[in-house]
Amino acid sequence: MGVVFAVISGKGGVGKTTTTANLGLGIAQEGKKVVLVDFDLGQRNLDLILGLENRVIYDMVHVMDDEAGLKQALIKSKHADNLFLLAASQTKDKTALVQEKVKKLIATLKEEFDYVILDAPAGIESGFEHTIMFADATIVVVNPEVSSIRDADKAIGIVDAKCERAKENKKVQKYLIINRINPAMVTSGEMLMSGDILDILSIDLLGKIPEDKAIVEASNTGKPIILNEKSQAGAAYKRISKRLCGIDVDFEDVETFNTPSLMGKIKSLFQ
Amino acid sequence: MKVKQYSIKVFEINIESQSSFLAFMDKNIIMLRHYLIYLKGEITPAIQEYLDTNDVTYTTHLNLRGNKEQQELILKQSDLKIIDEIVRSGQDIRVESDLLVLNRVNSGAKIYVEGNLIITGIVDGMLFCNGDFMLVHTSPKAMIVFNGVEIDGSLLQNKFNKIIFNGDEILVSPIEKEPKWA
Repeated sequence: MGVVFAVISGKGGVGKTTTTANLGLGIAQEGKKVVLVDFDLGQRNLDLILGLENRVIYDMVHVMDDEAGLKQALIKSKHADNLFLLAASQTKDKTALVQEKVKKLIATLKEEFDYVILDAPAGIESGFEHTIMFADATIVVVNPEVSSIRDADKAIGIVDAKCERAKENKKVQKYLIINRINPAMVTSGEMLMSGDILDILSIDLLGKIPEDKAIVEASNTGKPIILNEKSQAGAAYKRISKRLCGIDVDFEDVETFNTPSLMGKIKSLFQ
Repeated sequence: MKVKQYSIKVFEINIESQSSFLAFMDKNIIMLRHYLIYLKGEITPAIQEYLDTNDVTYTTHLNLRGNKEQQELILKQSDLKIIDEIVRSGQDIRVESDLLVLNRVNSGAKIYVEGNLIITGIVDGMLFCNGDFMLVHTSPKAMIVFNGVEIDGSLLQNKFNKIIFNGDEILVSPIEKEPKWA
């Protein structure tokens, strides 16, 4: 039986889809069988970031309505043999989702895969509720700024109130990923410190990801940043993926700003 | 026939002398107007006139019915609601009784309390309290309305504060030594 993770944020544009793609690939690289499901109906993105944009023939709505079999709709990743995508419908919107059908689909995926990762839409409307309804755990992605934190706080509140597990009085585990940390701005006090964010949200920290310009290119070319071994953000996703596979990885400091000129200054002393 | 049931708070006051009673009433009349006053002792014409002109709800006969055992039981059933989880953005909590919150109150959350309020975590959200006292640690972002009066955030200095309504004025005093709740 697999585990279902819902990747949520409340606010849009904080890096949910990028996180989903990278963690999916990272967990697959650890040898687990992973499926990513794009719940952002009508605004499909996950296929792009995985470089699978022209491979989508059948999507999750086709599967739920029995217009296609699950095997036909699952798209295998170019980057790992045990990573699959179930794409969102581009034509239908969130009203196409019916709770019973979502439940059945997730139950089927849980039997086939070790990790089922659901990419939630931004906001907290019905599409979001369908995503969290049958999740075993949630991964909350935030940026170190107040609006992202407040929206995430609200989204966590809804998970606690509406998720099926919560209604059965079981704990819904919630993990935090702080994305797009700019060390220079944290040092200068312009960005919230991760300690403050953890105090406010009171959930477990899964990892911190520094801001990395290479992510934009990685998304545009459909090669998730985790494949780029030089990238700090890629390394951070790698560490988080290992943690999700139960491997204890030390937390690294991505918030302290290493002034690149520091070594230069010291060297200049000896000249 | 129509029967209605009310839950009310009663103040029992022993009239020892006319002057001390009138002085006490004058000082606390704003608060006492909200309660039923059970008066013991002699009601002189001056007292009678004061009660009438100030529209005080009072009685001179009150039989609480029941022995001491029952009264102790009532005391034990304290009218306190306890929230032992984080109050998150978008949550709107309304409580008629006293309230004890054993966690944070985040930005975007609102709490309305008719009774007294104690919050052990830091408050970033909005509080509306109509009780006699609050014990809260608010951040400068928080909004506090106590008995209809908004309390200036700069008075609260980002630490634990005791906020008391003594009948005619609101007193804010910081607790220098932070309480250890555990």
